[in-house]
Amino acid sequence: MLAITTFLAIFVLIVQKSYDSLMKATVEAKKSNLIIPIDPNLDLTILDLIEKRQEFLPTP
Amino acid sequence: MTNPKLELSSKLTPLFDYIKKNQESRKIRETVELAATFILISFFLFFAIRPTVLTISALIGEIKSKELLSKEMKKKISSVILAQDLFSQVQERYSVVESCLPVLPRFSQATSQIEGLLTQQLLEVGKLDFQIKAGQYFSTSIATASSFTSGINLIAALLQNRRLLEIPNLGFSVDKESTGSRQVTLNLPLNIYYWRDQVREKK
Repeated sequence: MLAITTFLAIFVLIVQKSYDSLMKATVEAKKSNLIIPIDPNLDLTILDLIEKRQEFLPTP
Repeated sequence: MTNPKLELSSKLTPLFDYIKKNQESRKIRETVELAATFILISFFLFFAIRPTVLTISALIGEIKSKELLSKEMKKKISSVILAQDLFSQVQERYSVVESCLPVLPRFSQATSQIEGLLTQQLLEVGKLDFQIKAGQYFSTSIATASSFTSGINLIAALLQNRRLLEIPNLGFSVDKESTGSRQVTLNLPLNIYYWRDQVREKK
């Protein structure tokens, strides 16, 4: 009985540790800053606002 | 006369006892064998199988994470390429940004704006002194005499000017002697901003 219990305990421990090491790298990769997406869209409305403002050109 | 049954049972009893003892010792032997087998398997599991399984699962996890990273980085690269394309399309409008928040202080451009606005409001253009401050701006000050309305219009025009500037405070004062002429002395400090490239400065 003790031998069977020991065997089962070691088996469960190995399964748990191997699953943990399997998932650990994936979870860390998901948390990584490299994975943050970039928004390629540029906000051009601010350019229109700036263009509407008055500018004085330098006098020669 | 002896009972034949009794004789038979007395002869068979040792035999039964012998078989019974044998069976019990066989049970014990089998139990010991089973226990030893499980202990050996556990030993083998812990010292041989365990490190191998852990290494394999760690490597598989590593492969999966690298695949995920590779997929996300490809998406990111496409986004950067798209952003580059969009930027190249608006690059011709870069001068608009440069006129608003230039990389260098561009004192002459700032002077042109102030002079242009003062002239527009029919105000006297005086001397302008510039002081470079620790932050991303330099400061100057306008001191001029004007009507109150012209002063207000000047402030509004300065704030609407393309060059990015800030008016930290302003002061209007009236000289007792010139109360009748409806002229006020306007004191206007200005903080004019520029995009100080700190990365380039460190290099």
